[in-house]
Amino acid sequence: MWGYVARRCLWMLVTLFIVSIINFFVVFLVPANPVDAIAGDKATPQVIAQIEKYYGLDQPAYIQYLDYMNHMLHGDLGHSYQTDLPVTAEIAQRAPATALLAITAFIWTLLFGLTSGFFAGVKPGGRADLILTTIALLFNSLPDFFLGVVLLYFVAFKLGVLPLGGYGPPPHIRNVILPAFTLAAIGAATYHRLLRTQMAEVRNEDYVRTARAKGLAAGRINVRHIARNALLPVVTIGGLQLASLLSGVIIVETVFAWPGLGQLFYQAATNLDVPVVMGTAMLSAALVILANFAVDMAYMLLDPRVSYT
Amino acid sequence: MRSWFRSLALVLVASLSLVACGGSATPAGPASGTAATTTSASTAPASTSSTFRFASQYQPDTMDPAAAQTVLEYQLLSLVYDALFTYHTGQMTLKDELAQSYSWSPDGKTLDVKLKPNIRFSNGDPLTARDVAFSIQRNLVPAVKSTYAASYFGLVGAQSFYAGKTTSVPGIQVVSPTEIKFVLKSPEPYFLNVLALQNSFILDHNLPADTASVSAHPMGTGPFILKNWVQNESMTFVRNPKYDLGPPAKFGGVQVTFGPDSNLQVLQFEKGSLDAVYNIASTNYLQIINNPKWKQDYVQVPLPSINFLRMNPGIVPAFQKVQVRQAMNYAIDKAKVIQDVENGRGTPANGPLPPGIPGYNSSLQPYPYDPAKAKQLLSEAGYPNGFTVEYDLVPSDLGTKLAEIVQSMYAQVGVKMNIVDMQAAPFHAKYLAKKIPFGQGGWLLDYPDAEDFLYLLVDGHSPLNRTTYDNPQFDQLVEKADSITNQAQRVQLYSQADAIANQDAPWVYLWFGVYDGMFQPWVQPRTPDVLLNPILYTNWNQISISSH
Repeated sequence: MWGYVARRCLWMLVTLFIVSIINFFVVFLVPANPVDAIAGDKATPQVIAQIEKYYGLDQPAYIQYLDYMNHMLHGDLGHSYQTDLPVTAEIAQRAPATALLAITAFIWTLLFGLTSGFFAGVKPGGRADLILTTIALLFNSLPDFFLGVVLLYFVAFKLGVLPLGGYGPPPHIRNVILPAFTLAAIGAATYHRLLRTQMAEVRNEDYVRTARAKGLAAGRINVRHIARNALLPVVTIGGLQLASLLSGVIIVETVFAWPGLGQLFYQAATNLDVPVVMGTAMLSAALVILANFAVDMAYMLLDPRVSYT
Repeated sequence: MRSWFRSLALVLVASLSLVACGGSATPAGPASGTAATTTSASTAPASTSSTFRFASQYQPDTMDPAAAQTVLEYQLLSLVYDALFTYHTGQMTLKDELAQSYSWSPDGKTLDVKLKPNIRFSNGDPLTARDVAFSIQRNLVPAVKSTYAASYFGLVGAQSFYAGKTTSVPGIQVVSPTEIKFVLKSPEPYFLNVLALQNSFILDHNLPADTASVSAHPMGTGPFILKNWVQNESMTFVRNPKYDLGPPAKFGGVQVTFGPDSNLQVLQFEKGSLDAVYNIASTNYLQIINNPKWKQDYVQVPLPSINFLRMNPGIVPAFQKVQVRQAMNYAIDKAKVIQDVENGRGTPANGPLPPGIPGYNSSLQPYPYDPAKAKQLLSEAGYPNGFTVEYDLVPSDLGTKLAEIVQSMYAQVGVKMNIVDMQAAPFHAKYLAKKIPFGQGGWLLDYPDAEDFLYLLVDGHSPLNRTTYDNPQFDQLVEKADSITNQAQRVQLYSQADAIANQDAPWVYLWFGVYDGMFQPWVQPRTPDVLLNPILYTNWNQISISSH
């Protein structure tokens, strides 16, 4: 197994390397010059040429890439074209906010989704299923910006029980509730449906029938035999979703004025701020790769039949 | 002068805060603006300990004056910094700020400026001519990446210095600790305006000059000090106890919160947690105006800005004919466009130069909406069945709305307009290469001089004219006006050029914009030009906050 882990780690590095090449050169496929995008309307051709030279953008793409990789291997992701701040600093400033929001939202998503999925799956077609599935579908159909604005208006503005957006003072608990709830309410539907469907499938498995024949209590069968086996795909989806939350929070961060990475990435992509785009994209890729790895490892723990050599 | 382009939605006045500019001018006076007065608040005593609170969706990219280019950056920098010159409230005219006096040489090429005595930076360092030389020259240091660098290219030796060929700028000369000389290659009668730009704010030359340090620790002679900057969250300014240019500010500090978009800002304002909201989004405007209470807080002033459609004769042969360009103007119902896009906030444009800027020709009429006349002109030009044109667009709420409205108006006169959606960066590249066939444009002044509009945007020799349009007669008038020192004669020449631009129609003129916002009743005085100065954006020294 350790050999497998070592091989996987090596492949993760190779994957990251390939991602870095693709990311870097995709930026060059855009028929535009980053300096044009940042220089504003007032810059004359001479000014634009000078800024290009300053950033080394007058060099061929492969030289720029090698230079970028050289710096990256030394822990330097370059400086933002827009703000001149180190990209590592920009990411470090915003990462805690996004981490707090994403992790809170992820836990709530699982909590809401799995709870409602479980009770809906216990008796498909029953009253609980009908009510919970309707609610899940309703939330799943709402665009996140709409739910966000509605919550802000009624909960924060009208009732005044929670802050009107922003990050707030540490530990930010009152401020994280609404954005995390928005993400969780919408994301929970995925887990609700997944668990409910899986439970319906697992319910017809032989071992469930055997358990029933043995005379086990219904609750025990539902939890130990059905839900546990129905959870495997949830782990797969969950791992990937946690990683993708980084990009998924863009809109919610904007609606709630949450100073996170999503906004940073959006602004950088709009302005063709290559170092920031590269930095955040590499971070995102690394998270997805790590999440995949974690999912595989989790499979091994959850399903004794799975083994890696 | 920055066209609102940089951030896409830009071109429309509502997106003003995202883009940049410097600038001036308002034909104002209370009659031209609307502001509510609140008697109870206006009689309450001013509170010097109060904090003025407002918000912005994004934090400034920089707090280095030389690198700055947005309205927000200007607003914040003007808390901390002063320039040699600034503008009278509600007027397009310059006044001394750090300058005590100035004089031009008879040939109009040398400007001598004497500084006010005994002015200190907020760290206690005295202001000297070396600081002025240092600050202006920083715009020409490539590492600073000033996008306004070209504004200073008229100084002797500036371009060589910028290109790294020399180590000093002979056109900037320190005469004594209180006197500085600027020497120009040829007369630039608008140069005093360049010295009033935010890029010309004066820094202390004893401090580190790299843009990261300057941005992180802005420090000047202005009425406030930046006390705290929590990245992406907020900035806190407190009063500068060493402010020497006049009486101290009438309130204790400024708190700027970053993050809330326009909707959220309006809600926070109504909750009382903001004192002002700048640039009301089109989506919020009706909601505010239709609410009796909110309406009282709404303030609006004319903004020297122009929204237009750029016709590129180099790409679309039909645009080479003046009849076609005029027809394109006659085909647009400006009033409907302004109503649909900006909820009526704006006035129909009669040419490239907004009202209030010296040289604006008030005798020119905007093209009336006349589809029959448009069709007739198209026929005369040899296009009886119209023609097809590509309209490049970076999609945005207002930009897309505008495109669709004009598309339907052009269809009525037989011009088939194909809207091509583009990403911002490729659009900008095409734009700089003068390859956009037809598309929207917008410009907000940097300073109240016609050079900022007529030469920069329309003259055939300007590097910032983004089409291949060139009218030698127009160029001749404008270039002459740009280079002579007699102000009356300049105004006359610009006025003639404005008339040519009206007739020759290089653009489809749409509307002159407005600048608006909401202010709590305790923000005083309720004078639109003080609350919303269209050149300075906010008059920090004149605002007060009464007890509430």
